[in-house]
Amino acid sequence: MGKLVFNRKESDGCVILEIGGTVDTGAAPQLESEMERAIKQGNKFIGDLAGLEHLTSAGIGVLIAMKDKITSQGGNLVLTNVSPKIAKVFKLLDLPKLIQVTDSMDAARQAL
Amino acid sequence: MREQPLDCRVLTVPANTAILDQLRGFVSEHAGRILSADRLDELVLAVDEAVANVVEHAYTAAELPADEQLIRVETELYHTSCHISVMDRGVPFDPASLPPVDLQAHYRAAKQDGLGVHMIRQLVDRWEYRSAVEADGAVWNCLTLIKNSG
Repeated sequence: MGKLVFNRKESDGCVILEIGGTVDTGAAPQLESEMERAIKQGNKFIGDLAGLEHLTSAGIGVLIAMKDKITSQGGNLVLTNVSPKIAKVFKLLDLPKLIQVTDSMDAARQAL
Repeated sequence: MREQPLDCRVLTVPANTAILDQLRGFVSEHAGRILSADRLDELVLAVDEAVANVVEHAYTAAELPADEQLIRVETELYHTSCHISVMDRGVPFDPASLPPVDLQAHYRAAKQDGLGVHMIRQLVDRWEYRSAVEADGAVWNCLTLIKNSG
């Protein structure tokens, strides 16, 4: 299981945050600081979780905090490319009620 | 008579976040012998949450030297279940002492942590908490997570 992988790129007016590897208690602070930096520019964010292999409550806490921060800046965060394993974790914590999750990148763009 | 385990393993590591990957591998390798992939994922995540709680909370107020701040993980395989015990010598914490989490209230309060026990409760079939006294008098807090094979 890999360590946290994080990339930021821009496409069609959206900022895409690629989050991959492992986000556990050890990696959550790194994810938080990477996202803090990344969300300073732009207001439409897509979290692309295609490469995410393992996510714990610490990582979910970061996603929720970042969603709140982006929303308070007048923006929005949508998540996409969620594997069945990660979707199960989301469901345990009712996360889709808090952060919109879409099936594809196109659907994520439309949701923004 | 209590069923004898088919196999037992023990891993003792320092209580820090650098060991999480090693612990996940240890549990996966052993419990994967009897659990399906989905059930194994759930158990590994539950163990991850339990160990993270120890790393973040158990030793912060405990007066133990750094080299004695350890986590011991014991795995026991039975015919139809896997028992994983996460043990520490820090401040005792019985997860049963926490009330069920109201997720929406939790989110409204903008809390970023405190969901680990909620997840453990949903990910395993049963759990037990106890204090174990070793022959040398050392007291270990022991949270045993039990996952059935089907």
